[in-house]
Amino acid sequence: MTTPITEDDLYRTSTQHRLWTFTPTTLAARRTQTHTAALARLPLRPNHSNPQPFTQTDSLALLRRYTSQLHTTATHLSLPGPLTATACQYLARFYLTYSPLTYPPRQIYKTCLWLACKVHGTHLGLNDFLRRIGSEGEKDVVLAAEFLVLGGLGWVVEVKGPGQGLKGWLVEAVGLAEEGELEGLGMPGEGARTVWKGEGAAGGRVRAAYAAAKGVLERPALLTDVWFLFSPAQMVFAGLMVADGVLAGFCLERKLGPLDVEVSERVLEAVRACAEMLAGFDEGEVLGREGREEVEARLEMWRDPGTRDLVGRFGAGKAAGGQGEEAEERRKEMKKEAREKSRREGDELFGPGLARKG
Amino acid sequence: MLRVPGPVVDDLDGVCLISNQRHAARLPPTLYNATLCLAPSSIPRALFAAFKTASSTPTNPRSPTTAAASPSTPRPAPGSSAARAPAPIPQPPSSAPGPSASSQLDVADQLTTARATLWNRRYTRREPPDIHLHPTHVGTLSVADRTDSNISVRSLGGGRKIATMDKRHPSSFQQLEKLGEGTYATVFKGRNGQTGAFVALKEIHLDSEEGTPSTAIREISLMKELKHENIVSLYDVIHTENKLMLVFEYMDKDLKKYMDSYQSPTGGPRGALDAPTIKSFMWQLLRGIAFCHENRVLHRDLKPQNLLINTQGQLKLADFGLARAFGIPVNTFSNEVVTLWYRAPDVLLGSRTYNTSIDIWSAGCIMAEMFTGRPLFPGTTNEDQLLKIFRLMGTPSERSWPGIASFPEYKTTWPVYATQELRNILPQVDGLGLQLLGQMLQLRPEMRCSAQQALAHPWFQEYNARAQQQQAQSMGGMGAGLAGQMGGFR
Repeated sequence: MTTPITEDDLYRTSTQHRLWTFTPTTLAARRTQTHTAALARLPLRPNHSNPQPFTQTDSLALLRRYTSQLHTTATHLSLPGPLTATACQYLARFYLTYSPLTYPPRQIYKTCLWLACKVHGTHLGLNDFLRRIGSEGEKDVVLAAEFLVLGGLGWVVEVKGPGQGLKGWLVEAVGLAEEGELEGLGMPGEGARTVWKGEGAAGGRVRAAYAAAKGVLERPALLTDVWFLFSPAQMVFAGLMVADGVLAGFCLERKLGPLDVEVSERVLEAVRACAEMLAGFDEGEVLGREGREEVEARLEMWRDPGTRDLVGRFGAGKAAGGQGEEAEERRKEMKKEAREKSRREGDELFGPGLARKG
Repeated sequence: MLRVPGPVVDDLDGVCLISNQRHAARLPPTLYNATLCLAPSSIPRALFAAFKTASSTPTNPRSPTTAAASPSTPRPAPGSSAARAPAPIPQPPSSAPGPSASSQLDVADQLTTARATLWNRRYTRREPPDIHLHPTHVGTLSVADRTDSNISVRSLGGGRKIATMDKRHPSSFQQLEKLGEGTYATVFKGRNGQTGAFVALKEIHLDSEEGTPSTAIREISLMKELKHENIVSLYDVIHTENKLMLVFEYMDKDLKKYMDSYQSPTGGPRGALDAPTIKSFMWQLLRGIAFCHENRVLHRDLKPQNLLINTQGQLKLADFGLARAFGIPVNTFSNEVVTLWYRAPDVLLGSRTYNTSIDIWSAGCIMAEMFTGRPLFPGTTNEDQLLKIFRLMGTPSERSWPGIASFPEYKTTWPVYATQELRNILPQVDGLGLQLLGQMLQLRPEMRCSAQQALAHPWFQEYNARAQQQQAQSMGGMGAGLAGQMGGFR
């Protein structure tokens, strides 16, 4: 019998771990590389005298703004959490491959949501989708970037998130509460996000922590880099740490069990680092409308003119494909006619083929 | 089960592969762009070159000398060009050794053809028919410069301009004959321009209204996650503005064709395989299924046509267009999947909360078919399919299957069939095999064995012994390492 694979092994073979997980250093390097490459592709400086450059900081700020916008739109459409996370991750991953200088996020973010809908099997038609996001008539805009986005993702569309893990924790923790294991735990520490203030049974504490962690993992997690730096399970416990550190610490310790000290120390360190990033997220850092317009004006000055007409090129490509197919049809038709004609002539010359017996 | 993986930030080498081809690791992020172009002009020349001097022409795409391995290329498909290259066409006897190009052309001019004889102007005033035979080459797929996505996008010029084709480019594929056509894709045999290795090129039909079909996206996604020796490998994804091509490992036959063309050494009935082959195929099939299920993926469309066999007797699962990841929720699954003959009774009854057991049912049907050479339950409609199953397995009732009455397709008018003995219907199967088959072909999904349990069945005893032996060997090394670590820790 083949040995069953553990959850950890499974995660380690996933594309998310293999291709889309970084250390802070490699992530920064990848971003710098992408930005530098995009700059190098720009033909010449813009015509304006001494324009302010479009920096990597601008690029990150703009992306954060569009991620936030994606999140808001998806929430407004009441799309499921994992789908929203997938769309936001597509945007984040795409901009590790390309710079906004090459493809501004305004052109890309709707396609990210559209692809996430497809991957999650919402069976939403494109027209319906566009109507719901209030972008009727932008069919070509969304479709034109489809291959581009998929290519930028390296055709890897699987995104694993903390949602299911958090639900699993809830089930386990409610069990612990019922068994009375959570009695005697200290109160949530200073700055804990949970609304629980010591009242009622332990089950209430668990559910309050779950709700708070869910909030943290739904928005701040998407607007920080935690998805690139940590595994979903680490994110679950980091979210819980932010929600109710004492409870999360207790559960994590139980979970780690008799692991050797070194390993559990490493896990704790990762969870703490992740929790710090999540707690440190400040909603005020997301660009407002004016801030976005300012950055986009600068981007407009600097952006790569070679990739400007995405929709036009898409249309041309489609037209060429159509003609190609028609031409193919005509060729087939002509071939068939020629074959018929020669058969008839052959019959005239040599007489018809022998009738098949029986 | 919730576990915290060790910190994932370790063991990263700082590169991010976005292609499944290793060489892309060191290149800047790329976009795969390619152009599909008919290049008739280059082909006759190449063929002509082969015709004239079969010995040494670097332009000859079929020359085995191009089969040099490169780090960028996927492992060659079985029966690669070195073995398969067509025998050189004998040179015309009149060609002198080392003649100049023009004298070689003269030789070609002296050749006569059937056409020239039949329509010789000395004997007929008829015009020769306007027929020109072309080589069976359909087109050539070449990947434009991968190092700079923007330049490659521009060089395509909106799909109208045909990029220069380089036969020696690492990722150019020659498109050969059509292998099959499905609802959402056409599959061609292809040849890697550099290694000469065969590949399967799956061209996805794009929907002008909805863009890339979600089936294609799903298939690509799953194939990228599922890397296993019993699952067909996806080498690459190539696209232009209006074409999407998946490059798969080439397999010689599907199980259906394999059975059709099988000559039993023991003279069994047509289409039936011999017992050792069946056991090997079932072992491989179940290993592939087990891997999918461990990765939370249901195949949902297992049938002989979707199981591919290569010349080494390896069996691999293919066609994941209908597969899906089964997290939660499960109740939104469509019940319009899985080819009727291999469809599990719970799906036929309209269940929308099916699980891994539907693939086990299909595997059971396939096992029986390999023994007899005929499909076990060749139903024509949903209803007929159910009745064919009941005729063998017995008509279920609320007593034998509690809750059956709540299925959407449940009928009180079904004829009541008694359960048949499997050994009467499949006398050619040995006792243990029948036992395993019985565990897979259970009407109630919760009674069916899992893929892991099936693999552990005594019918596979020799395979298990071998697997355990291999495991013990590799564990031996690991165990030593662990012990050393523990010692240090203590």
